Amino acid sequence: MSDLNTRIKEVMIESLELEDITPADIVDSAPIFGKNEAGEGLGLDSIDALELGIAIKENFGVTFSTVKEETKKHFASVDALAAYISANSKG
Amino acid sequence: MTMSEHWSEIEEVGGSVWHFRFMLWVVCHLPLFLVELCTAVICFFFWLGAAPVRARSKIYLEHLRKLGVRVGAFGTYKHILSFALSMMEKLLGWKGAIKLNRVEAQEDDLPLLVEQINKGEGAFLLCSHLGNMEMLRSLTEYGEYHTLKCFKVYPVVDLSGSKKFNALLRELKPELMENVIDANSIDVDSAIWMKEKIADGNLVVIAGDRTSAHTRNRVLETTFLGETANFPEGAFSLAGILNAPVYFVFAIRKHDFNIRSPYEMHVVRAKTNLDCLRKERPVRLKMLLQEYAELLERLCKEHPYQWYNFYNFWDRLDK
Repeated sequence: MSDLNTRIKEVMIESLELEDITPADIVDSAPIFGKNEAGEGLGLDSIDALELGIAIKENFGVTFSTVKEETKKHFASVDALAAYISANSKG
Repeated sequence: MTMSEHWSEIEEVGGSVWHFRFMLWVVCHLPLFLVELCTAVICFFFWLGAAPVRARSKIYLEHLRKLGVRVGAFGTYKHILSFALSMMEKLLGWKGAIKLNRVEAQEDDLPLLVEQINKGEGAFLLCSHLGNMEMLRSLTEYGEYHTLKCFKVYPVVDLSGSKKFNALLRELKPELMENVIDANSIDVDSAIWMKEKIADGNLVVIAGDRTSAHTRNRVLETTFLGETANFPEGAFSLAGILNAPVYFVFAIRKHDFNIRSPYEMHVVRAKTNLDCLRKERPVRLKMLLQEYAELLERLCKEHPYQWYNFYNFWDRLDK
């Protein structure tokens, strides 16, 4: 598990106040919103998405395109989010 | 005719752009008493012909009547007339023809809000379709409670309704439309932008009494005028996300049918504290909504004809 992935998970847990969940409990490839066929995923909704987006911007300094479909793609999983952050952050 | 239409499915009343241009000409060129007279006559014929609008207005007025508010036989006509006058008033306001200093403060939390603005702190305002929200801008200009600091008002508006009327307003004052945030495209960027605007001492304002056209299932329920009604979850959630002080604001014509009337400005600071754990937030948002609905109900009883929601407010999808 990369450091960035762990940092993202920490930000998720902190900003969304996820209880009884540690970074290790979040599957890197599982959907952040809703759940996949295997029942994995955090099942967050669109308001959570907004707040998580704000936290990500405040912590990692990356902005999100206002094109909704594209933003959805970056929020697909922790892996996708990590890829987007490392591609777009300055440091 | 069905009473279960959502407002977004109801076609914009008043039809063509030509109508609105005519309205604009009238308000700019005729003395105001003639404007009122013309509006009253045109509205009378509109009222005769628009049975669906009459029926929807009646649903609202019946709710008031059950609570002991006196509504006469021509209540639906008065309701429609009051709405038409408010459109005239908006045009006048945007044309710069209305002095924004005819505002009468109430004995409420207005000084608190002004003090906050003067300290450079912004706020999140919940307004409604009662009265005329444009009057908020007057806070910079008038009397005893005027602000010393400049601030901007950023309205969050569902632009999917009244497209033609909005197009005309945009033409009149393009710079004011620049501050408008489209409620249908709130995303991470615009949410952060709103946070920043509030942190810089400005006001973000959204109406709390109309459910969203695009997310009609995202609603909060509470009792309003004696029956359970749906309110937009988004407006109240936004208060939680922005986590700024929340005020309820209403600007209402003192005399219902006079566009030269002074305004009553009601400003009430919300008692519900939203600075809490996320899991507590749904309960707090419900409390906030109840505060809002109670205040809205009280003011609707005082000025029944100035609430401009012409759809069946109590029709719920899950009912």
